[in-house]
Amino acid sequence: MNPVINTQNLRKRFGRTVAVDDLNLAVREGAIYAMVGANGAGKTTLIKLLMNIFSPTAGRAEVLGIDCRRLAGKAFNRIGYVSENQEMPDWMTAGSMLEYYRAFYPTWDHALEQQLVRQFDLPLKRKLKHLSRGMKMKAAFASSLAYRPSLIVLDEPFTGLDPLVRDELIEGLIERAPETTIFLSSHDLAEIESFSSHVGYLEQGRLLFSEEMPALSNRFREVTVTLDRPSPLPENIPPSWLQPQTADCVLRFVHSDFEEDRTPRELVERFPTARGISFDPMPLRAIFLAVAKSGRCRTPSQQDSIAIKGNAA
Amino acid sequence: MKQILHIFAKDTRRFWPEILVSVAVTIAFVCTGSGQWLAASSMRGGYGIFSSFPGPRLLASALEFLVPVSWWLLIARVIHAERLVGNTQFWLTRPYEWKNLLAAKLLFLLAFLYLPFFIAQCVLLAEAGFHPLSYLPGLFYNLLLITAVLVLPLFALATVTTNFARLTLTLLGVLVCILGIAAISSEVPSANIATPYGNRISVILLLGICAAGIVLQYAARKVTLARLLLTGLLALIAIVALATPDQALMDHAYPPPAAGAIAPAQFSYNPDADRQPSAFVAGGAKEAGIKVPINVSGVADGSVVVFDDIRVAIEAPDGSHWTSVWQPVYKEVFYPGQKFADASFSIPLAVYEKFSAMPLNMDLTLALSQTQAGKVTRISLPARDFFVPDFGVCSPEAGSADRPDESNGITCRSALRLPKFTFVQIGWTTARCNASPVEPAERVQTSAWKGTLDKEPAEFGIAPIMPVSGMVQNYYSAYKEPPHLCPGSSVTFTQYNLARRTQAAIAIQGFRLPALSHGQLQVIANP
Repeated sequence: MNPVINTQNLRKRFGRTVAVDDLNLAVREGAIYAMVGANGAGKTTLIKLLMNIFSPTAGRAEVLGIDCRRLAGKAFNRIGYVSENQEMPDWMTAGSMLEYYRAFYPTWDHALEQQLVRQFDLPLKRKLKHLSRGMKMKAAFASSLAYRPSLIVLDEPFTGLDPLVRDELIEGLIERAPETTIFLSSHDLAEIESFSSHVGYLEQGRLLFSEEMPALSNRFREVTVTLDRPSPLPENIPPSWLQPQTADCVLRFVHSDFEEDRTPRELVERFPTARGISFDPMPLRAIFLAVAKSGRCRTPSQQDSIAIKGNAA
Repeated sequence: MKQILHIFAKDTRRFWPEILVSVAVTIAFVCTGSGQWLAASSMRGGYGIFSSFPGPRLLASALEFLVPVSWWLLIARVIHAERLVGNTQFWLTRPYEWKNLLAAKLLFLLAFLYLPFFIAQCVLLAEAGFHPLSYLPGLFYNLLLITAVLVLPLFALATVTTNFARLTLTLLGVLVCILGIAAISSEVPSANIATPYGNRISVILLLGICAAGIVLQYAARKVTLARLLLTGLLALIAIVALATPDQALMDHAYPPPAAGAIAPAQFSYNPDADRQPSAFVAGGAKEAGIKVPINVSGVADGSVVVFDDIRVAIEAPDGSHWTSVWQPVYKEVFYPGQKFADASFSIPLAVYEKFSAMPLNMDLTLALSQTQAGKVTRISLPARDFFVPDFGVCSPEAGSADRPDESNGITCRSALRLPKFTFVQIGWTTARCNASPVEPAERVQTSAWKGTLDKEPAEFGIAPIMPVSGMVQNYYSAYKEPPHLCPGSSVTFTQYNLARRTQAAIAIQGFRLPALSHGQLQVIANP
């Protein structure tokens, strides 16, 4: 399957700041790809590069087979874009906005528009500037889904929304998922985990990992080793162990390269006198926090350990 | 096309208040503008509402200023509706074709800026007695100038700013720069030379670079590049204003005579007891104005020679020399049979002081326009407005309260530009118009040169009607009682057409700069 989004050594500088650094990414058709990362990691910049809002400093990116630098006009017939900080034609009512956009898209599905209006309970006669943030986001979603785009790009779409609105939007999104590819950035890790098929992690403009959600969940484990006596942190900790810490007889760390067949055996060999070793699956939020926190004092070898080579989603 | 109309319709729905304001200002401008020349021609001898109160005139001037201000608002609002600076605009990720977006904005300006203005100009022309269809080239040329000087620069600035406030600040900055350039250029002699090319270079630069900036922004949103381009435009205009290649332009406009060519007139320096060179302090006590008497001959019958500009080169016996830039001489006219004239120019006081004590070799170069008499229109002065082809519409100026049956002179107005270069003669009489019994009359002829040799179909302006200033009026000086201009008096308009432009030289050997007088009165120091 051809990648819907494909970047090669994509780079964006703002003065001396490198916002996106040699980024290689491939998002396959049909994926629901969540790009996560701390504030300032480069998620929004990456999305704006993909949408040709910014021009790359180096490298290249393709969206739906089109070079991003040429992404304009009719190419957006197949792309739906919603961003938390995107301006809207506030002077229009929700209804007139939908009517205005309708004429731009040959594939606009009026029935779907009506369905989305009902589903999101959009007040069509109210001006956008008088709508709440949640309602505005719903209007933006409706105006970006009604033409059945091949790719939906969402930049922090759920930030600042109440859980009810978030659920409604995700529901609307999931309904469209079978016929589209979704690429989104978000801090709402719990929500992402519930519907994303792939996840990527950006740190200081670099893509640290990019893989399928189950693979990521399988790869990260919170490991607890109960030792026979109180011990300090062992020496020569492997780079795949994140945030190692000891308390009394207990050693805890996050294993970023867990394998069912190999890892328990290795740990038993390393701690032969251990009274117990447990491996707990981690939610995405915990993985995110572990990777983010360890990033502040990470060595290059640790970075390699976290990253998965050939990160095609 | 569908997308263009769709965006246009959206902008029209959104900006109807701004459109309404702009159209209202234009309508008010038409209403007050037409009153101005009606007032001038219909009111009698200085009484009437328009002559008593400056209010309507001020209002008309204010509205003439407000028309472009309303355009500023309109352009800013409509361009910023889909602004080109920033990365959060709603339209960036919608299927807008940049050509369609640009075309929609142009269509908007065409519909709500150009069309109302064009109609306003036509109405004003018609009100002033000019048939608009006869002035279509001028109307379109004026629109082109307005596009270059007002619309495109505003449009271009709107494409590189985010909102109305930013645009206003930028515009103020640009105005300060332009004022600075103007202030500096007033100190640069070569910047003041007026060639027949006028400001064509600046107009072409404005049109070309502003259009390039706009297209660049719409096609690629290269904000920094577009801003650099517009800053460069300002720098280029400054260079054009401050470093005009006056010699090259003048040589092109007034080619030096080819060998063997017949000059339009011959000139020589031949002072006599009555006609001596003179010098006076001028230019804010920084310059010496020099007046040199010259002999003129050889002006062909049926033609006149217009003396447009002068350049002077001085060489001292010690080899030191100085050459002026081209200086305007305010259209002195040489007639067939004319023998004497003056060539006036100014030199810096420092140069005057350096060269005043020695005999000089002085070369005067005159820029001349030879004109040929053309169409003659003789009119028996009617009581109301009358149309003079290729000149304009004239009106007998109302006489004073005690002489309501006669005129003080005539006032004229032209359409879109000054009239063609024309010699106007008016026949007055010493007898009262309705004297009974009939008084013995003596005919008094007065005349004036009016208009311009420039060929442009229009001058830049919001108001399409131009008053022809300084038309011949009552002739007070030579007669105890002012002569009378009665209905039926003869008024003649002789049009002169440009035949060629050239230069003529006068070489003066052993010229001594005359003693300097202050304010035309020579100061004689006590011995």
